[in-house]
Amino acid sequence: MTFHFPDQTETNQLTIEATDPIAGTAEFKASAVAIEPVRSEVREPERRRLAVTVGD
Amino acid sequence: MFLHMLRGIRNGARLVVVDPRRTLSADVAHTHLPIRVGSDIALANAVGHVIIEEGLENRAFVDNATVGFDSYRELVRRYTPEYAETLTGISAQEIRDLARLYATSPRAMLCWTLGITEHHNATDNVFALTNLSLLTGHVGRPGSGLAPLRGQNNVQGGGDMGALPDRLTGFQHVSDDTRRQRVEAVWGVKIPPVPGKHQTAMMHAMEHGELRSLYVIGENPVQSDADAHRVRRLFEGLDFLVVQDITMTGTARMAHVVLPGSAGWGESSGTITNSERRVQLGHKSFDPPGEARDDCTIVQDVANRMGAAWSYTCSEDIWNEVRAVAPHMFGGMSYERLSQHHGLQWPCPDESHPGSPILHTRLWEPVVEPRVAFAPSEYAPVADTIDDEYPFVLTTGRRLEFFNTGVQTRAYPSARRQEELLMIHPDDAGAYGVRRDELVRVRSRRGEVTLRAGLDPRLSLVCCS
Repeated sequence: MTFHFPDQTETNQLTIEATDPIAGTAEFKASAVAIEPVRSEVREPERRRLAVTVGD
Repeated sequence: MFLHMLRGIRNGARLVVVDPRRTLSADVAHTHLPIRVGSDIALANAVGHVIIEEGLENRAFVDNATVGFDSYRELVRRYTPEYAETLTGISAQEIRDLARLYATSPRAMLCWTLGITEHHNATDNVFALTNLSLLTGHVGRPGSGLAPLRGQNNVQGGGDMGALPDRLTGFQHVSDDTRRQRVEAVWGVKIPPVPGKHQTAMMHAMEHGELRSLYVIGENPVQSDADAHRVRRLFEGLDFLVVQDITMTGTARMAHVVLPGSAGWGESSGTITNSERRVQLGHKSFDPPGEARDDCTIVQDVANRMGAAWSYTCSEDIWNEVRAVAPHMFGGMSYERLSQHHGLQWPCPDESHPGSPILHTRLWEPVVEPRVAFAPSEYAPVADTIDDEYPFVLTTGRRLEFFNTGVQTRAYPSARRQEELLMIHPDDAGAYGVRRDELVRVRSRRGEVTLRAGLDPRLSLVCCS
């Protein structure tokens, strides 16, 4: 994951603000995460499109 | 920079890449060591251990140019290659090979980037590497040294100009009375002798209500800083936010006032300093669009509204002031000479000085004063504990064709996929029921996001990116 598309995926919601005591740099390179597939859900933009279809 | 390295490899140099991911750089390397995230100090200390154990240190250099060798030797005694193997995932034999190659090469460089510095113990990570250069004398000579590789063209220049909380222009410490008074004399103001706050400390000050207003220039902290929920809350709590930028960034969208600035390349004149400390002069080719203005002019107008009487007419006026406040670094770098020499490397104190391609050459003089101290640093695990509930370590990175928070790359059509992906090793994906291009939820102790997955056999196991 990068931080190139923050409006779409806010990667930094996951990162930890544990910082070096001298430099103040945060530990962007190591966040403990859980990963699970989401098969049943529909993504936000698709859900909006579906809602429009229903409304029409 | 990488093209220079490729040329070096063609000329017979050997490249070892230490990275949890098998990157494009790793593809051209003679050896790729897929290290466990956050265990760099263990590897560096074990390399130091082998060098000392096998008597490969540069004894004459250590004796003449350094202090603190005994305490370093004492520290690395515990970091046997076998112990380091358990922390790093790199075999004891590979660690021994690396140590021998580094120590016995006539010239060797250590280059690093954010994998070393974006950690809670970033400074110790860097110390662990500088210790190796002191141990072997691979510093201060052509073809040797230490090089943090920069992600932007002017990272070095920001520091050069004093965009650091404890330094004035030219890295002069604010608590150094003589230096500070010299700057005060040129600027005609009193400068507080105590350091200000770096970005992390500013966030803490915002949290405690000590910092109520912010003027952000050319930075998008709301979308680039760690723990985004917290950062957004802190910015929402400000009384007054001004953002000066070239596009409406996520931070600009929260601002009370947005000042449209000009692009660094093409729309403004001035200098940048690149990774080899070379100050380069660039010229404006066209005017910024619409109401956008040169950043220097905006800042000058704001200062003058607050009672200053600045009258710079061009970037050269500002540069000549920089030369006056930091003559030991930039005194000899007139616009004319910068143009004539296609840039000069600091320090360049006077107009007869050719610039300084290599730093730290004084370490090879017969008498070294002051000597350089070893900085023994201990391995420490990553801050965010990996456990049964959060079994993966996410290491964020970049993609070649996109830039930072996308401010400069999102607005253009691209042949590349403009979508965030969670990259995961196929074996891990199989174990967790994750399939290529399908949605996954990634959850940390602070937040969660949903995005599509990509499979990458070049990643280490339990490391996702």
